[in-house]
Amino acid sequence: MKRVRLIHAGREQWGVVSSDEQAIALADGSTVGWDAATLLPPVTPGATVFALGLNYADHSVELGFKPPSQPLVFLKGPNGFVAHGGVSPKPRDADQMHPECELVAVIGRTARRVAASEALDHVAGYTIACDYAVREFLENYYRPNLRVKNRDGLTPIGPWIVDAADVGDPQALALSTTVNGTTVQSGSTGDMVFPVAELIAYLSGFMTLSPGDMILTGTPHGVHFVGEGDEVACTVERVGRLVHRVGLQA
Amino acid sequence: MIGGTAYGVALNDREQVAALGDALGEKPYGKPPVAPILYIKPRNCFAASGSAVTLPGDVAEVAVGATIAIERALAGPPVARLAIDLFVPHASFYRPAIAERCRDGFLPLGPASAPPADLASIEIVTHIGGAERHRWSLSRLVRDPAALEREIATFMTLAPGDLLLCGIAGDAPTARAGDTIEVTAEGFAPLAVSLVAEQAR
Repeated sequence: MKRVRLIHAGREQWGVVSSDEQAIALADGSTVGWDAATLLPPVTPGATVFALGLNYADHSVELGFKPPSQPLVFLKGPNGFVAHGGVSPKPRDADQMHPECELVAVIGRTARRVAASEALDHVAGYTIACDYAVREFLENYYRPNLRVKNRDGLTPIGPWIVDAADVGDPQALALSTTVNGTTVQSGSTGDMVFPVAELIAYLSGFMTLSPGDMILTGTPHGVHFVGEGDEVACTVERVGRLVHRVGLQA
Repeated sequence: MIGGTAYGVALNDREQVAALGDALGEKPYGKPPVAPILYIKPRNCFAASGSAVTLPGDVAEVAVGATIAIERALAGPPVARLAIDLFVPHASFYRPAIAERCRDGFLPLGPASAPPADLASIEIVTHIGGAERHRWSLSRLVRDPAALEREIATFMTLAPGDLLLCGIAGDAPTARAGDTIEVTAEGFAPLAVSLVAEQAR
């Protein structure tokens, strides 16, 4: 199933997308047409949001780094999220803003000291994020610093969460980014340095993961700077296609 | 109790920055920081005053970063809480210190109250095991709470309920399992927690 969060009848709700992707079924049994729905980021309020740096060997090499010996994890606040179909504002004082297509694992059950062999049992499903970086603001303190990776509106996410059972092996998915129809990133989750199960084992080894927590699992190679008006689409096989537009900071 | 995201600020203590000296111009940093260095304390860290915080088996001692958390209000002036940013001491500020800072219970928070007028120079005192172990004033901050909010607002918006831990003393004391910690500051109710060893698994 594909689960969306939307605002309908004046309230936030979760719904299930029909198999033809034309309608959304709500908890009360009513339905909303897909085209009439106002989607929200499929994020549980308060969730802890992890992201991975340098988790694809080819992207590490592209940036001049050796792949890390342990996961390079950073955290994100909720201020960055933008729903499918939304707008990500490019800062006026920076031009090196590049999209990063990422598979997102959504925790379904509390996880504490979970072995990698059991870790995927704690995943409810998967979604897609475009975890923008703005390179002009990189500093070598708690890098990647929040000014680069946690800016308002620069983390489109969605459109939905697909049940883990419908995705299957999370390490066998093609993922790509197009900008105005031209492919700028193309890779496979099979190239992750630390696969989803190992990331959950690592994180849950020192802290408790709760339902709704999310892990943005890193991005493959392909650094392409976007500009105002660009249409960006991030696709992950068996999960979906997340589309947004680049705007300009007010 | 806490409805927002907790953000902390590293290297916001002038004495700590002075002590690091030329090291901030060398590898891996290259140059001293330009913008506030933020980090997030996620929800698993939140703990109430009076809590027993479990020190995991791999953590022999923790730094006790007593500070003030400024809580964004929906409208009007913010409120403030005493806070203890517990973290595993670490020398490098190069990579995000998630395993060091984000353990369960590693952000005890006191009740909210109106911030005193002299917040920018308020003195925060830490007692460990009944003895005073540390005392510092927010006048040591590189950026005071108002300057922090101004600079952070250039790239991200704090929402109502979000917390901003306005800085940690570079010479924060350390504590171990079995210790009790009490943090006080004039105008705030004391914030007390105890540290307990994890039961053997």
